[in-house]
Amino acid sequence: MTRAAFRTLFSSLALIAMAGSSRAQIAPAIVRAVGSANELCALAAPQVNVGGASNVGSVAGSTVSIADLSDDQTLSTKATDFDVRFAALCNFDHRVTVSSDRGGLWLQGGSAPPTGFADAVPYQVAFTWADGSQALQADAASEGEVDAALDVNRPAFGDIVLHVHVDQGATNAGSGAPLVAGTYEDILRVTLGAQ
Amino acid sequence: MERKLLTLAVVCSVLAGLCAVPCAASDSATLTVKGTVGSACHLGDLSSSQIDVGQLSNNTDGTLAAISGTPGTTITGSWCNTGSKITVVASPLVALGFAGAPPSGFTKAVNYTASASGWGSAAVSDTTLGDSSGAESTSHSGSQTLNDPEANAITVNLAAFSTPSSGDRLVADGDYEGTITVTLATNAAGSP
Repeated sequence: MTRAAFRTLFSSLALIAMAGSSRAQIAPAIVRAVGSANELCALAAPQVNVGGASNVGSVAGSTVSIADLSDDQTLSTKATDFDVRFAALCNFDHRVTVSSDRGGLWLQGGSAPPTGFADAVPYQVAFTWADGSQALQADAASEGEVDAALDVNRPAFGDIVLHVHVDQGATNAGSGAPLVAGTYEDILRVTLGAQ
Repeated sequence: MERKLLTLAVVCSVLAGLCAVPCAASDSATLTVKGTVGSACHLGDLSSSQIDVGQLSNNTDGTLAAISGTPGTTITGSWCNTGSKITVVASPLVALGFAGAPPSGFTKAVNYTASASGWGSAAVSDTTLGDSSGAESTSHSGSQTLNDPEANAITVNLAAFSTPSSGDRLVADGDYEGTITVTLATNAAGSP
């Protein structure tokens, strides 16, 4: 009878100990790692493809000098072609814009040309970038900025290639008109940025 | 009636140590008390549930920046009362705001190595294996088993950041995100 009482007591103690040691599922610790990448567009200095050009005299930095803008025989415009490459990068949806400050090669200074003479030369800039293409028409109809834009809906890197072309005899006074003597100039701007 | 009274006296002696009348001179009793402690582990609290790596890309060419000094986070108050196994599983930092696959030469994922140190003598690490889209074709983890009970803080750090291909440029996104999961479990092969 006494042993039975002990067994009863022991059983009760053991039962309490087991209840206190029940095992629980351990939840993992989860850490979030976060970061960001800024929107970035980058454009390197222009590289003029002199080897494949025609009627290009010299390249100094970002200035391209046409060898002979006028034809010695006709005094009208001589055809010119050259390519310019810009290593470029944009890591988001973006737009490349090519602008002509003056809308053509215009005579620097001077007054209105005599009748029959031209003081501006139209030209075209076809450009390619990220599998797309666009063209700027600097038609020299009037002096002022003209733009052409190409939207690219993805990040891109590589070369923006501009092909500059001047037609034989192209002037703002009609095809084949003679050019007034002087310096003709325009500024092309290439811009990469948000759409 | 007499038998009932004797039983009552013995029980009284054991339970209360009192006996109103002298007990039998040669009587003895043994009481064995046993208990059991179950195997258990506990992961404590994170000092921070987020590790901010900051700017991932180089602002000059868009490639991965040289990342250093990334703050870690600590899990304090962790313990296992038996042998244990700690496991670390990390996922790459992925640009959550960029839909679809990135163009060739770009990546929307940054890989890294996550390490958990302080639990045992060696750190446990896991390196993510994301491709440029952030997908991982191979499962991976880092783990370590300890044979003895352990009570320590666990520090999680990130290092060795890389892009899936060398020279990859990162797509712009304000929300690159990955996770590091630290698990602690009892190890059946351990002691006691």
